[in-house]
Amino acid sequence: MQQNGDPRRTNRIVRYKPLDSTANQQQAISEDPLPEYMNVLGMIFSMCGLMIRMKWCSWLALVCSCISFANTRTSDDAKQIVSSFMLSVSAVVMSYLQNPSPIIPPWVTLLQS
Amino acid sequence: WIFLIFFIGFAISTDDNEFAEFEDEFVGSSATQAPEIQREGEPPVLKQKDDFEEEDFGVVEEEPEEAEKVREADSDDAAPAQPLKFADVPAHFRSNWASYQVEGIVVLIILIYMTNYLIGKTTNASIAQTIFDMCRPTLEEQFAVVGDDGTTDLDKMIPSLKHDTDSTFSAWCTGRVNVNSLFLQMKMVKRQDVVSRIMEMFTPSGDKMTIKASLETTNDTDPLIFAVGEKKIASKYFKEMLDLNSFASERKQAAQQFNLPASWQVYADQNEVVFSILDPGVVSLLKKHEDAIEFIHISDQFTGPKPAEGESYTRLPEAQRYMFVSLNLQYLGQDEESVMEILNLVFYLIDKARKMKLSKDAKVKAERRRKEFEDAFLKQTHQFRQEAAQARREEKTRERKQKLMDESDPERQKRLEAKELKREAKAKSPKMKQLKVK
Repeated sequence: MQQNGDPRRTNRIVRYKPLDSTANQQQAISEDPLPEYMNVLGMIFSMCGLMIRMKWCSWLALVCSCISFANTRTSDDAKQIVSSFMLSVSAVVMSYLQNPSPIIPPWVTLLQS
Repeated sequence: WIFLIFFIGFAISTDDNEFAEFEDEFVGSSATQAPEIQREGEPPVLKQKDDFEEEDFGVVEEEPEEAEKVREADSDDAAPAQPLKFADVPAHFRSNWASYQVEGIVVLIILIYMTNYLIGKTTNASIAQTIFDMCRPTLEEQFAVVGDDGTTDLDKMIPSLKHDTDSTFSAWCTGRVNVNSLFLQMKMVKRQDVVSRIMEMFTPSGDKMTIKASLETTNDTDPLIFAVGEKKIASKYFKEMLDLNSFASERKQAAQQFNLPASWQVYADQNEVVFSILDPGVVSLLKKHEDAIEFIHISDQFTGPKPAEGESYTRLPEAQRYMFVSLNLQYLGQDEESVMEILNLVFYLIDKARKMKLSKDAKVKAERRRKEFEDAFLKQTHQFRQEAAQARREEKTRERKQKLMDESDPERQKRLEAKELKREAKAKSPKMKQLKVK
């Protein structure tokens, strides 16, 4: 025991518990729910892109995946973000493979009408 | 063998038929001279080729005329030739890049977002690292372990900052007298996210550093609840924290006596706590670093934030001795000396809260108030518990009555009814206790 004014005590160490307990995980999510929302939104948009073949949905899914990637926590596992990227990229590729014509820009339709 | 012979025989007979057709026509057409279609620029060689074929095979030249005749015959009979309809096959994207304007814009947005992500991430990391490097010497003097990630062995531990996300960093320090653990967390502006950067321009929140220290509880430590800080932030925490809200109140006179900065407020459960914590040294440091220090909260009854509106605790969470400090990184990170001074002030307050001795009646008063709060809480939750039990009882009687109504067999129904009447009679009868007299 160092008593000469040194406050350090090696016998009173309390180890850090990583965010594995669900309570901490819940707390982390409640603090910043953005990545979770963006992930769900990305999944929905890529489903729309794949099923209903709406091109702008696929592009929005890709943007949502990027936002979710930028806000991930290191404690989250990478599978979730990789799968959301793969899903959105496949939605974009599939919708252009099926019909390679471009999205008609809204400003073109406005100018014509 | 029979099959083979039969097959050959069949092949020969069809051959004959095939030529039969031509033989008739051959006899007819040879008389008339077939019009020669002389195409312009057609080399004479073609003519020579026709004679050669006529002599040897005598068949080939007629065939093209025949095909033309057949085609002319077919078209005369069918309706006039339909104009060819070209299927609407979209042109391949490599052929008209220019029309992919929307896609180009989205790709540009993604590129901008990702470059901003890289820039923002490195900026956040460098700010956090420089401030951690300023704090590290003081932390290493005070703690046996700095920057614990919970897994690596203690002897191989290198003090380092943990990256929770690209905008929050933390360091867990432990191994000190009076302190179980100290959790230092830096919450920066999310520079890596373009949307957050734009939002930051409208509602600036700034980079924050919070220190959460779990203090050691022994039976000779006196109860205290104390908070001091900048008005806006302090009143926000006062509303949010359950212990501040339940025990503490604002101490205006005390704040004026210590001539703290005008925009600061002091909260405490007793005046005596304010006088013992805010000694001149502390007040001078608070005034010196008025911008960097936002809020300091020391409490022996820390139970976290109040439950959200409408919700309430059924059981009081376990109270712990706790210290919370919120610092503004924008001012803190200017020079190493101020960082050291502020950290030493925090450790000084930790030790002071541990050694603080209240007068006898102040201590009795504090203990009584905590007891009153606990009793009031139990009374409140008792009411909840009673209401819940009442609701359960009513639910059961309703179910029994429902069962009685649904019962088809008359005999069973009578028996159930009798049982029900007996139960009701028993509930109504006065409760008497039989005492045995010896």
